[in-house]
Amino acid sequence: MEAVAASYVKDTELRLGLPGSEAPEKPAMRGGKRALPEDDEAAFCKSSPEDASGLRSVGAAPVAKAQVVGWPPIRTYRKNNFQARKAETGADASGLFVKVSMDGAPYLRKIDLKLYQGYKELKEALDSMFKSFSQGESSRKEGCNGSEYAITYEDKDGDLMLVGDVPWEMFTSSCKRLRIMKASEARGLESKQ
Amino acid sequence: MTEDGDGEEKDEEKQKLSPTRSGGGGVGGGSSGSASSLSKMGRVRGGEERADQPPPFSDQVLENVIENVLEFLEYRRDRNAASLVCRSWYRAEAQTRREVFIGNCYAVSPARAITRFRAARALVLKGRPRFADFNLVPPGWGARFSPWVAAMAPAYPWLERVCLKRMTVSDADLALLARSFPSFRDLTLICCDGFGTPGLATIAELCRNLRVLDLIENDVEDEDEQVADWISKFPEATACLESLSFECVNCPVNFAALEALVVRSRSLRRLRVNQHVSIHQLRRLMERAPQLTQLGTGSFHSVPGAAGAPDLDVADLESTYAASKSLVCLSGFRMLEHEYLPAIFPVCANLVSLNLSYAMITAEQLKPVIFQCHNLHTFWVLDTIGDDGLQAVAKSCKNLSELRVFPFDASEDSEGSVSDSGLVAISEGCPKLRSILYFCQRMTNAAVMAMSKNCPDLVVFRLCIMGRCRPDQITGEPMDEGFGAIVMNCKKLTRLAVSGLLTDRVFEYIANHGKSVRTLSVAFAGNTDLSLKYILEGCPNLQKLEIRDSPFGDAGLLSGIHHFYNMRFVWMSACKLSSAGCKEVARSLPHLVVEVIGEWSQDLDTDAVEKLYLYRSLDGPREDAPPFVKIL
Repeated sequence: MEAVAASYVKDTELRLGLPGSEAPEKPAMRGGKRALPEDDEAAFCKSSPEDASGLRSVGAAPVAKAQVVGWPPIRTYRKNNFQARKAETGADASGLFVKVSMDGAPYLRKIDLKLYQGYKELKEALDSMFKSFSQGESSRKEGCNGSEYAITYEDKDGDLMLVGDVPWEMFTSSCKRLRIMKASEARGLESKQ
Repeated sequence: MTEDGDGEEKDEEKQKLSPTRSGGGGVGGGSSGSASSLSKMGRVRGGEERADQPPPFSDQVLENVIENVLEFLEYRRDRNAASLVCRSWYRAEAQTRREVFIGNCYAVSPARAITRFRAARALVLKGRPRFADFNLVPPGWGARFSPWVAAMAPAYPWLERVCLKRMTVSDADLALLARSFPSFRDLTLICCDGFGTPGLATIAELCRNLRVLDLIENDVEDEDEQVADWISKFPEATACLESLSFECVNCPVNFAALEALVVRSRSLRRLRVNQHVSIHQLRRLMERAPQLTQLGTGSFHSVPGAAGAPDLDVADLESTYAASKSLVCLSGFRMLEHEYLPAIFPVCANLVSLNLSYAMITAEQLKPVIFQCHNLHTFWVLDTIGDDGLQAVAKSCKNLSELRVFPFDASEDSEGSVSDSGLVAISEGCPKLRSILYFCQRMTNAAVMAMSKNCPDLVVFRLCIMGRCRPDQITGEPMDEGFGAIVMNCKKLTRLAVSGLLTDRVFEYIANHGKSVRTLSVAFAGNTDLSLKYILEGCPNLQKLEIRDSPFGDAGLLSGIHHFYNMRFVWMSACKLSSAGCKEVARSLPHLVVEVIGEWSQDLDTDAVEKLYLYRSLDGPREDAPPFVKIL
């Protein structure tokens, strides 16, 4: 159990290493955001809706059946209203938006946890989202171990927890917001397990 | 209900900034009243410069007379037209305009608006572009209310009403509002964020003359659980409330205080509570306020074993509804318990507006209700009722004017419960339909064509086929012909949203026939720049254009240079724009603000433009742009 927990923690560490250095391979969909098709016009519109859905093709044509930000165009307000009820009935919730804040960054972001299949992708998404801030903080290069920041979250009860401790599904159903804080501040949380 | 009415009237600033083919207006002076663009620019400039100098005596008399006449003008369009006649009328109109509508908060600075309209009593302000509702605009982009309230506080002592849409309003802003305007009576916030219950508490406490507090679909956030008991803050003396809507406030309210407030507010006509109000509590509120005309029912759910109260009998609730003889508008039903739905039967025949769009009901559950709603004009519902449910609507609601069918499962791969046959049924049963928003997965050109023929009065047609780029489900063809028929047959159409598999052809249709179209929403559509060229060159009334994920590039964008000053905004995201093209637009049109919006980690100097948002402005680029926005 401890080994598993440890691997979760490792997965969620933010790193500044260059791509390819101990970092997992990034799939075509960076961080779960919709990919910009390059010059392939056909990629904009797949005219075969009968494609098998639910497959995430890593490294294949970008516009696969992965979720796209803001589509269908339903306001978050409405989506969130149904979320809790769908969870009760067991049906798929259509969106799970949580705020993400980073210590030192002046602006909040909101992400949809449903876009990610697990901690690895979440970590990558946060990595790319906050890269411009952590770059200013240090000049870490490839090969350094240890990380500058830890990802934490606030759960339903208001407690601050380290991301990666619990199974992914449990995390998405209890996470209320995410906070990226300096690793030194988060040290206290690890000992809570 | 949520008002998504994107203004039909001209903006305040449009009349000042007319198309200038020569690319810039000189100070023409002249008050000939002609429609030529240069003289309009010049007259406005001259008018502004001279507005502070008092006119000679006889002119002053004339101006006073005009003021008295212009006071009767209500509509923005009329006022805008009157202000263009000559400097004297411009001044007189500015002195008598009571409601100032600003469709884009960055089109004009607070100082300029306040300087011109010195006697305003009401402000309507819209901020973020609509695609912000779908998370396409990063938080922190802007549209803050702070500079506006700070500027108005000293300038508008008689301010009575503020209506904001898609703006960021802080608790401090609300506090300043509450303290600065002793006559303040009406606050409406739609799709705003940045405030919490502490801000509401200040409003409740300090606005002694408050009549309307409508909070509609706002993101009400309370930091660190600092939830304030805002309902209790309404002083005993406040008894003139006419409307209270707080469905979007997610925390429980002090029910005793709410009940007391309702009891003493004899003028209360509209009450929309949040889902923390149980059905028992709702009944008590209704009994205290039988004069209500509009009711948002909250959860419509009983709390099992609630504080010793026995389970509510449907018949009892029904008799309460029977006593509410004035009810014409019902909404809420946030956690509907189906057994209680029949309680609303007594009011169905009087209902003009019914919003069941948060209620997961089937066709069978809907039918007994809808069969009695003969007077319904507006109906919002979830697609769980299916085509069968829509058939029932078509059979009973002959006067239906607005229909919105929302998806229960808002994802691309969902089954979709309503389809082309539901659309056809509605078109056949409701010929007076003027506005429709329809989410589905299955659609055909034939169905859309049928609607275009059966409902010629359509003003708003928004069809969202949720699976991206889906063709006609039967023929496999693009959906061009269907939407083409809409623009051809519905001559009054001003707002259009397209979806499904679409080629350049549909935009050619829109350009050729959609001459009245003012708002156009495009997603995952078109093949080439021709599409964009068609629309920008062919639609003279186009004011709001929002496009996402479509293969339109610089050539298409540049074809709109002659028209951008006539528009409120253009939004283009995930298209094929480059910074070269956007810079060219910015260079050609000095009064246009061209924003390139990036994600944080993205270098804004790259060639590809991820998100473009451009809009006209009298006061140049804004100073509050965050780091992820670059203004060209």
